[in-house]
Amino acid sequence: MIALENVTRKFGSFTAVDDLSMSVPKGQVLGFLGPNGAGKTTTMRMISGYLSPTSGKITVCGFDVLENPVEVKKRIGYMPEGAPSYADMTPLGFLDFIAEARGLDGSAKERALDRVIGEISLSSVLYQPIDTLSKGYKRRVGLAQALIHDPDVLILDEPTEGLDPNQKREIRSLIHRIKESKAIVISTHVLEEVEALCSRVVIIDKGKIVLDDTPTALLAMSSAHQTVYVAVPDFQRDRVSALFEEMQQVSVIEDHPDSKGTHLYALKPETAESVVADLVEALRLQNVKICDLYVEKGRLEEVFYAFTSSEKDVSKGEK
Amino acid sequence: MRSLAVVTKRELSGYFTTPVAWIFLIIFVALSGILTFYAGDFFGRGQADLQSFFLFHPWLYVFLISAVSMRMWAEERRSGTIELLMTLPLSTADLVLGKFFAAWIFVGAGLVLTCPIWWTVNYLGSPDNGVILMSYLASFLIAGTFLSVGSCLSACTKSQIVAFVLTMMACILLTFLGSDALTNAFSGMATEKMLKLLNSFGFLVHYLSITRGVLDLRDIVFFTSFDAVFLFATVIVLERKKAA
Repeated sequence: MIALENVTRKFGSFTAVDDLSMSVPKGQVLGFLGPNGAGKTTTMRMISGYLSPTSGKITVCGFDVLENPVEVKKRIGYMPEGAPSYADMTPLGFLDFIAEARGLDGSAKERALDRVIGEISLSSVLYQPIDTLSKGYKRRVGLAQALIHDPDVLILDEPTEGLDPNQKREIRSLIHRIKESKAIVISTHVLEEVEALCSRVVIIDKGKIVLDDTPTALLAMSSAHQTVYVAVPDFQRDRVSALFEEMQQVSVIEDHPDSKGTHLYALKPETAESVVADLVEALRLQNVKICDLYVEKGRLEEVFYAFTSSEKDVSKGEK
Repeated sequence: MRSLAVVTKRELSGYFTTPVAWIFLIIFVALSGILTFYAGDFFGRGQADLQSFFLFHPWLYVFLISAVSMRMWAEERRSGTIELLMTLPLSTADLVLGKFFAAWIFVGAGLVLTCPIWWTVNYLGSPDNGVILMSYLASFLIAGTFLSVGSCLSACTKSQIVAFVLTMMACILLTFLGSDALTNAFSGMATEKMLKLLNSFGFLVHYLSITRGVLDLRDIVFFTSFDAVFLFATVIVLERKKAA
């Protein structure tokens, strides 16, 4: 539904987005990651029609952003960075204006307002000036504004930034509910969100895509992927150490005392196959009590860092 | 047309949700009254007309219109709501015209509120009400033209103060064009023909000719075409900001 072809955007001599191509089909939730200044916001602004690309082509639902801006804007719900809204207005007045500007009228408008106010739980603050609302509510108003016309394409620039964990959860479940029928692009700095929400991750750095894959594949790139953590009672430590030494499938990368008289081992499997069953079996044969056991899925942070930090370190060194 | 109405409505309600609007209206009505009676010597002239009232309008507008127009775009840009507006399925022209009309209606409301002075002069004597009506029209026209200038300059900047000062300077210049002081200042630099052309752009000349009761279509065309030029320039400024 969204297609970018060789899109470049320059601000003077600075290239914010550099020959970027990607497409987002219906039903996909794309997590757009990158360090600050990587070009995420610029890209989203170009899709939404706020900025025009210096070169390249962007189409949304088959309409070219430059040739048919109004048709494109009709189909997009866009929440700009920081979720701006008119501070003097009430949420109801504001949403009413957006609905009318989006061509909704009469009973269709009433229905849209009811739906979005219910979905985003805004009913308790409808008549307070937006100025006086908490950050969480302001952001919800921004989100409601983007959803009011039930758009095919949803572009959200850091939708959960500044929200408390409960509010984040609500927004995530909302996106889960509506994602089937839409193409959604979300930029975020919260990496856990990507795992929870997105079916695809694109990491950009300096205006270029450095990685484009599923969150699971990304996690698998992490060095911590598949690391098994086992906690055993302190007094059985010697026996366990000896056992792990013998086992071919794993190597101990770390071990240190855990809480409450237990000792924690971090084991790196040597093969791609799961070693958990073998481990449990071996420990049981030795009559070792397993106090805790978990497998690390991988750390997005680590992958993110690996893909976006290398060149930066070099430039820091030069300075 | 519908989108234009939606934008105008929202902008108009935007004026009245802030105290600034009420302060503007009060100051406008109060100052126009004070200037009429003190500076204009309304009673001393002994004439049943409102010349002393309308004489000061352009000068009042220089300050007050700049204050109204400064927030038009600068504030949107500063608060980031411009991103919201520009991504709604509305044309830039709808947005520019909607904002302009809302501001114009707002200033028009200020003018309507000065009508007690009209009653006063009718109570005291029998003035030519046709001339007064025409003068109101002239005042409304010049207000619109100042607003269109302000709209364009407000679109150029993020800072309301910058927009205010620039608009004020531009409006002073436009008002002064054709006055003796400015003509003399330019006389050394320009040919007779250029001076004449420059003077024909003077707002005051066109304004005063209407307030004297000479409603010339050319004066109306002069003001409205000025509006069109500056509003078109506003659209261009906004569109250019997309690309640069």
